Amino acid sequence: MSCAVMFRPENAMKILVIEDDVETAAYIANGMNEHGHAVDMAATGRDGLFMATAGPYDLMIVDRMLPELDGLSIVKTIRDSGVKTPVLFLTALGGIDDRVSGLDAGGDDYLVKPFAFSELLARVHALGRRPPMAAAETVLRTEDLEMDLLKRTVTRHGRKVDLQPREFRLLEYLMRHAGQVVTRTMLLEHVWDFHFDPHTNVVETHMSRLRAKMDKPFDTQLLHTVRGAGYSLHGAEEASCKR
Amino acid sequence: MQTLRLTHAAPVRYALAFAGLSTLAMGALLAVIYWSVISLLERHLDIAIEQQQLALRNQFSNDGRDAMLGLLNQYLGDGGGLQHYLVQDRSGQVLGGDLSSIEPSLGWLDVTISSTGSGTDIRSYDLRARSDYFDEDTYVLVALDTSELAETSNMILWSFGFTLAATIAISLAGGVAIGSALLRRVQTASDAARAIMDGDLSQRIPVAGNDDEIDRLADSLNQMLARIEELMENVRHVTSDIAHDLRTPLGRLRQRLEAARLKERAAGEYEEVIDSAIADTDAVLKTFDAMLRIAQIESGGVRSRFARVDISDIADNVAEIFRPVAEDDGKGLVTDIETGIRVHGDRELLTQLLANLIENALRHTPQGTTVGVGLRMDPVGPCLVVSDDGRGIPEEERHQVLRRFYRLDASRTTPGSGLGLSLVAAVTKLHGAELSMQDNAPGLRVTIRFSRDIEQSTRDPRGATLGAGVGTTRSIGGQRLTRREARIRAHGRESGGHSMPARIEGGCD
Repeated sequence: MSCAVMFRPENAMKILVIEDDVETAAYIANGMNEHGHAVDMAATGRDGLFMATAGPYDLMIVDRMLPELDGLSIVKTIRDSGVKTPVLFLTALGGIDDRVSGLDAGGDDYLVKPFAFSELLARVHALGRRPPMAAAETVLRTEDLEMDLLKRTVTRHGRKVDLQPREFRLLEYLMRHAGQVVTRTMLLEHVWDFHFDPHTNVVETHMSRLRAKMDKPFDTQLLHTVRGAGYSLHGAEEASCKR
Repeated sequence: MQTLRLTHAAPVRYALAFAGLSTLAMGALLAVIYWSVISLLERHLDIAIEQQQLALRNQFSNDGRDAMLGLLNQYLGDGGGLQHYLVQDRSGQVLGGDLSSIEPSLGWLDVTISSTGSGTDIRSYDLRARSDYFDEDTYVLVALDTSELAETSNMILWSFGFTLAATIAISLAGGVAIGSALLRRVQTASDAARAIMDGDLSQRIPVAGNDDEIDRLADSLNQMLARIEELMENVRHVTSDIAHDLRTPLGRLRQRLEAARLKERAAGEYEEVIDSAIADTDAVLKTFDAMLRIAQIESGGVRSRFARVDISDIADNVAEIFRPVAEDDGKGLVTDIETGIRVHGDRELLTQLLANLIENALRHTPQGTTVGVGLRMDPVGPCLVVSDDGRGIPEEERHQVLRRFYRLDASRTTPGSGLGLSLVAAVTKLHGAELSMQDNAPGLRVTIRFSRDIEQSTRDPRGATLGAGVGTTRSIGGQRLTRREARIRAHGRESGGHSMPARIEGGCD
């Protein structure tokens, strides 16, 4: 598992967890510590808001339902005061509206309880290491794989790879999160706009098609399946820590 | 059972108030009549007195006092005991008539005067009288006995009193009778309600059959009860279905954990067991999520998020996503989607609806099946069809498959929660659309009819543009195409390799 995360000291984050359920908070904190992140915890909305405004954090994990001050209000407040720290909402509400209202309040991602830790970790990494949104970025590169966002073309090792529009979107998402683990759910939400879990192997099918086009014909494998977690696009040096 | 106190029952209170009011009105009417009759009688009395006095005065001035006394005696003889007279001189000496002398006063009088005579003969009369001096020494009083008038007035008062009493009695009795009849009907309704509360949901409020307001109320209540009974029945079903469906995976989970514990194992084996336990738990959680989602959709709250969404785009998108899945499964997926059709709804839910329908078709059909997705604008509104040429669903079971957890015997072994079509049904209902299932001969054909969006009415059913500028272009692969071109192109590309199953092209029937 630790290999899937590809922990590097420069990636260690300082995370604030605002969660009133002691067991869930401990579960998150232990897991994050294990993966090299420092975690501060707040059990009430008021404490959470205080800590969020006081110290700089790389990321915040905020429960929606909190005593004293709810998660939505905390995030609204800190966003109003100019804090741009990425926020991941946790909620027991699996509602259709809840996701939208969470994102509207200034949250960056949303996870419904109960969740798999690997899912949380993948999302935390995706948020925390979000590259500064360079508007000028028109070419994505991973090893010898190159994607031109303007011309909508993909080349690997100088050879053109023909992709359908949806395959292009899938690869773009993977390349933007190169070196990280992306879960099935993240792909479903961001690539296909599916906010539910299909019963058929949609993700697997599309992945194997993409792999057949951009990996199979070449010597080294870039697209890896991370067992029990998801997928990861990365080069040879990370591949060495396969289980 | 609860006894209702009559005075507290609304109909009786109304009856009492009504009786009071009608008594008041009747009393006022009778008073007016009484007053008119009595004053008319008095007026008649006065006229008679005036006429006699005039006749006596004429006699007096023409022929003198003695002649007048003669006429007076004649009157006295004819009068039948009702007329009385008094003639007296200045000193109070009675000159004629049948009354004893009085202290003279002039004009109209209501007096009691006793008769002349002595001993037991002396009687006293209640009189209406008019008196005057015919000359200085002749005081003449003409009077009529008012005892008859008093008697008449008494009689009128009596009969009026009786009428009033009867009015009160009748209106009270009537009010109470009507009131208690109403009360009885209310009471039966209340008894029925109580029986229902005690658990007998099949009870209904009796309808009298005379189509009045109370019957209509009972009818509405009965309809409501029928709906409640249906819902309760659903809840009962769902509860037992949930218990059944969740017991199975939980039981399996327990077995596996117990089996793992029975003997010493290598660490790797334990890991395997834990992984499969997590997978089992996830499956249970997924079922719960699906149930919660359906419940939330059924509550209708999502409607506040509704917007105009391009359902053609959604259908295209979802079909594209599932095409490779179908192909890898040895099945085909063909589309006939008219572009630019919009409905008022929720994008996320409509996406899931379509995904569920396509997945359902893919999962319950054998290899070689072709699944069709059709969308077109009918005169009545947008119509979405997902069809297959697989085994189909027997007609008697078509309605059942929309129920939560219902699964056909044939698909008991395929994985799935049995909630997919329930969610489709819930989303359809949320959008005010109609879901129906037909035989696709062979296979199943699910049709969802949306109601027509107002802004859509500028277009004809086949998608040709009548109103200019209503989203006439769309982009495929960066090219701008007219809708018709796009449709032909999309169709041409999409149907390659597979033929349309029968009746997909036709859209809705």
